Amino acid sequence: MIKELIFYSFSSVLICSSLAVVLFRNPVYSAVSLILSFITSGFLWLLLEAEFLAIVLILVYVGAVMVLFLFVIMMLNINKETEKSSFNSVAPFAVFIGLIIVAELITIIWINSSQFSTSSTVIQQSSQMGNTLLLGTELFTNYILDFEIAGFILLLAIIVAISLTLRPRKNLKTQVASEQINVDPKKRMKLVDLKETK
Amino acid sequence: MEEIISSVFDFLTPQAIGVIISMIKIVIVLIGLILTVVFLVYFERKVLAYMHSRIGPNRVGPFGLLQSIADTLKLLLKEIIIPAKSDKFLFLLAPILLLVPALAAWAVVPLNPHFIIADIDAGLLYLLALTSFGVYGVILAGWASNSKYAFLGSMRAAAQMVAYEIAMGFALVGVLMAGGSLKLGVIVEAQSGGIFNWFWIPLFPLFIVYFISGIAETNRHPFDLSEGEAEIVAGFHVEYSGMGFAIFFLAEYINMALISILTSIMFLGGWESIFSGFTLFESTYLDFLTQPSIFWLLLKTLFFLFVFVWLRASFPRYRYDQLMTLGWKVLIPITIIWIGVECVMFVLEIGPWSLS
Repeated sequence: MIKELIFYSFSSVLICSSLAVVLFRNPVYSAVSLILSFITSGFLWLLLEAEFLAIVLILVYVGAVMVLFLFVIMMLNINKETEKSSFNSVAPFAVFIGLIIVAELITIIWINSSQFSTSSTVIQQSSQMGNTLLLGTELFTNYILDFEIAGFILLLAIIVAISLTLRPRKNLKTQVASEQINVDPKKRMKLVDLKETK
Repeated sequence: MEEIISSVFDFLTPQAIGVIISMIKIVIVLIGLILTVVFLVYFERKVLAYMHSRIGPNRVGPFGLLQSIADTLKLLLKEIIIPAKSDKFLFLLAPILLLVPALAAWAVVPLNPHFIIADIDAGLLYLLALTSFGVYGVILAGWASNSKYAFLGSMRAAAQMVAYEIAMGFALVGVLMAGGSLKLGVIVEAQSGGIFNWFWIPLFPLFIVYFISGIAETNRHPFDLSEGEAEIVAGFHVEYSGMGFAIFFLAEYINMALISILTSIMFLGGWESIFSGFTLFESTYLDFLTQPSIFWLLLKTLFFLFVFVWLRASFPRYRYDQLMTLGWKVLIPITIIWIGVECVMFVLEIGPWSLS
């Protein structure tokens, strides 16, 4: 009873905040409601006893991705009026994408729901030995190859992103700490005895 | 404690008793934290004063002990000014967004083997998630104030916190490898058996990196660029007055205490005694010194809090590019290399831990 109550209250917060992401005029408010919706979906996962995934969702999306989002939005200082007019022009396309996602969800949840029964062995084990441990053992034994491939793809993406944005600038003055420390004062400064002039 | 409550209120279900006990624990931790912050401010001012050859606060109460309480009362009674062109909702929300994660992180911090509010499996990850959440308070405070100084401060804070979080996360990876668990209680247990079993010896670089990035995460000196009194007045909280400012202050000091207690738990053996394993005190009346107790944990925490103040008195503020260089090019490579070294130590079975 209490669990259902918590579930429905979190779900309604999630739906409202997701709607608010699209409906707010101010992009900063949109970003803040996106953060709220990430956190509430994390809570929903917690209700499913998937605490590792829930915390990782909050850690990655709220802790890192959204900080950069907010950073960029604030730096750009997007004009609210142009934002509004562009929304109307892309609206039909957005509705089309939304319908595709709804269709996909329906096929997964209604038609194939028999495959996702809660009596599967992984879920049963998870309640016994803890989510984090189970996920670790599964990933590093049964799915080690897939996991490593995913890791390499991500590493590749990091390197590509850095090499795309890295533009070596000429005449850039940088500080070399080791040179500064190893400076010999005798080469820089000469003490001269001056005779008194009168 | 459960027996007492269930005997007095025998009509309650076990679940309800669990909730009541959690509530009592939360109140104990909360009151303890507020008192810690009050006296931490006094401690900082006094230590700084002696390091500067001054006297420090000595007017209110004996030795000036009530100075912080007087300051708190003053802040409570001050008028809260909300700038006219600010975003009022976010302006009021931002301090709360900074304070709530600072307090919530204490839920998984064990004070002794039995006293912990929520003993969850993914304790370290929870801590990492919550410490990274605090940055929103800073960013939104700077943006909502609609002031150039505040905005500059929050931009600096955002870049700084994202950079140092990575080093912090890698240091925690090293700790969880050594401890074999994400639970802080298990990590302390893994360090039992004397000062040479504590993780600060095998994980010395990670210990240093964790503490440095902890200082950077709390925006304390010498990494307090987001405040930078000399450059951008007071940074992200320049427009806040009265209780708004007090909440920022409170969150900063609670985070300081959190970083200190976590460093002592993860690297200095938590509640384990400094003398544990010493045979010198055996069967004398000093035997209690070798027993694990909460006082050891508090002593170690106090030491790290002292280091926070000590660094503030000793170092000049970093320049922004130096800060970024230190974070990205020094601390992160050190942690990555040391995790590799740790793997080798694991395989060769060097160190206090063993393959289980």
